[in-house]
Amino acid sequence: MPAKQSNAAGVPFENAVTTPQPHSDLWARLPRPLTGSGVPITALLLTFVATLAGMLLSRAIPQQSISLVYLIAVVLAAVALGIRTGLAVALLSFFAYNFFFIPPIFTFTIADPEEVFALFVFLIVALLTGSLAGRMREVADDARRHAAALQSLNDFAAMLSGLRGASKILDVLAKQAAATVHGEAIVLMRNGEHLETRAFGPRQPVLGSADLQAAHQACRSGDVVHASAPGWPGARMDFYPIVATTGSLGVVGVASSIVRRVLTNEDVVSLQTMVRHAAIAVERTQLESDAAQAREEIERERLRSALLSSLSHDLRTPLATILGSVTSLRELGSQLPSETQADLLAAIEEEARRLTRFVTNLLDMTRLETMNIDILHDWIDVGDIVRTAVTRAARIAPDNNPITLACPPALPAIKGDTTLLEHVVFNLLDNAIKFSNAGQRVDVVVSAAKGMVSVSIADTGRGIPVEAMSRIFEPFYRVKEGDGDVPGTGLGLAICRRVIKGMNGSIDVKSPIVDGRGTSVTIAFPVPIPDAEISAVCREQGA
Amino acid sequence: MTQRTRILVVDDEPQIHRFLKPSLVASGFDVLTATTGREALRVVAAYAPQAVVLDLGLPDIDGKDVIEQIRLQSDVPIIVLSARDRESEKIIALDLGADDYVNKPFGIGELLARLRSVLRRRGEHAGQDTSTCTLGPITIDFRSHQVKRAGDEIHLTPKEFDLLALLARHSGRVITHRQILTEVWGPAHTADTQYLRVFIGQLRQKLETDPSQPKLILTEPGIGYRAASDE
Repeated sequence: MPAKQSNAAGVPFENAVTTPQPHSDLWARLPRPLTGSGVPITALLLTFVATLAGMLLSRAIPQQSISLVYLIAVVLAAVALGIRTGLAVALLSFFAYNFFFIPPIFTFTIADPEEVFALFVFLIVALLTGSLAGRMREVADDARRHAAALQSLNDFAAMLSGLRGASKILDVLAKQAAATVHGEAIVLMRNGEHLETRAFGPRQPVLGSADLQAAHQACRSGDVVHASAPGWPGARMDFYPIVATTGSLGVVGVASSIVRRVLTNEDVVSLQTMVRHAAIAVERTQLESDAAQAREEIERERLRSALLSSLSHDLRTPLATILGSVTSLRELGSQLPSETQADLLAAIEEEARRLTRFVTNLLDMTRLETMNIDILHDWIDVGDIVRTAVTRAARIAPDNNPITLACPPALPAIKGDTTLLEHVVFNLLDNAIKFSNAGQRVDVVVSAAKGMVSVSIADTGRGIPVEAMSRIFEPFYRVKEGDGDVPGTGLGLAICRRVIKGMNGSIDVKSPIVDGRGTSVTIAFPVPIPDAEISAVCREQGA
Repeated sequence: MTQRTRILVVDDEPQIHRFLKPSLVASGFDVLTATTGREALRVVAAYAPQAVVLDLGLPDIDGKDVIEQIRLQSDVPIIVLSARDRESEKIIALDLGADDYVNKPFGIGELLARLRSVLRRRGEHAGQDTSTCTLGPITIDFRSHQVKRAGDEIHLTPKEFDLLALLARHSGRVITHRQILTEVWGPAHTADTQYLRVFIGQLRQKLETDPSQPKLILTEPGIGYRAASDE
């Protein structure tokens, strides 16, 4: 049977674990003693049939040719049922042919000496044919078993390579090992000096103290420990160590549930190969997680240095402006025209506000970074929050950008954090205003549909360049164009996204909207079910 | 009316121009402004300002490259604006030919003092006799290698004299470790800052009234030394 390579990569999980066993394996699984006692019966039966056929044919063909009918029976028996049945049929045929067909019939005596010779030639040919045919069958069986084992190992390896996470790998290993021995398997992994059960299949085997000792020994030595080996009285399972380049990771224990079944050499090799594959896979996932951790560390480091350089620039410029303006006013006050003095005072105020915003953003970011608490604790009214944010934003809009707000009177409540959501909306409004020209309108629309409450904020400002679109949510990322004249930290959207994610919401940015200008940001939050709870809350809030 | 001194201020932050320009104007300067390195180079070429105040963090070209480019065409005094924690950046800027630096954020008085100092030195260079120079109560005669305090000669070793002469000639201006070592000990010794510390200590012992509170030879931590200006 050729190995089916084609499906190796794409085997579905379940399918591969319980690889369909070919017919030959079913045969191999039949307990041997039964086969042994079955030989005489099936052999007798076949010989009987051959004799009947010979009698029917005896009128049509010469008596010598009837031996060929017996030969057919011998070959059939050997091919279908194995070498022993074949040989048994050969012997029985020898007697039956003599008894029923060689004159004088119904006796074992032979009248013609030539017939004696022919009969012995028949015996030899029958024995040879039977053993040859039987051997062929055994070789074919072996090849089939071998191919099946290879196929299942192949599938196993292919599946392992697709798995992420050690626990899944160990799970598959346990199932596959159990299938191989037709019994149970357990995976014990090392944790310091202890072995911990990490996977088993199909059910959790009970480990005796001898089993545990054997498991520890296998793990320590890196060699297979068989239950039958001396020194483990009462042990039920064989233990195969899972050895990686760094040493033993653990062991796989297997026990066949078929009474007195001895694992074949092939089974042992299969198990060892399987365990080796699993060890490599587990090690691979460990390396992958190490690499991921290292990447994370690098990313954190990058963030930290970005934060530092951002601090250096965004914190120092307002400070420089404030300090410069204050010292100018104090030292040169009388020489400065009064409008310049007023402008310097205005600069101080603006920069102090900018600093406040920056510090708030930074603190929010830090708070969110370290925050593990659930920010879904309160029922909140998006309409109220947006109204507050719009009022605040209108106050800071330097060029009197009008902000329009459309909000239905009653909105379903969502779960979240009032302060954080207000911060998000304010930040988005602030962005819309910052990137708009004087007098350009900002439109805010709050709506509820399809189980979502959404807020969309649209401006007609300069929009976001296509190449910047994918990066606008990165902390400290700022669109280069106009970096000089629009103050900011590059933290706003990063914070927004984090908060929105924390509230199970989504944020969608479209830019440009019309004629290469304008940006529209829509944030949406799911209205939690069940409805009953919501309407109760709405009633409470008088909505 | 005498012609006012033209100063070019280069900074990408409009807020910095917002207070620098009126303050410099009120202090008697004509102010040119630039927000990018390229613009700064154009202004230097076209208007030949008498001093440049240059922020090192520019959006288009690195401030250090701007210094190099300016130095190719002019020896206009350059005062660098930089963050306090950017030592290496300042050192490179000074080594490239910047005359001085002011840490951001700064008070307007500090910048004005530095500006006047670099402008005055340019003026001295042009006309004055450079065979002698004073540093507080100390008189240095470059020809006879004599150093005197109120008429009393102070004995200095040749290296000490070279070091003092270098600092005094550029009084008021910061000289980087590297510049001093190259000038006094030669290009092979640019990393030997420990020499420098020892010699500066010896000079202070001989010159300063209180060597633990130096008033004549000032340390610019991490960057270099500065001889006090007469201002």
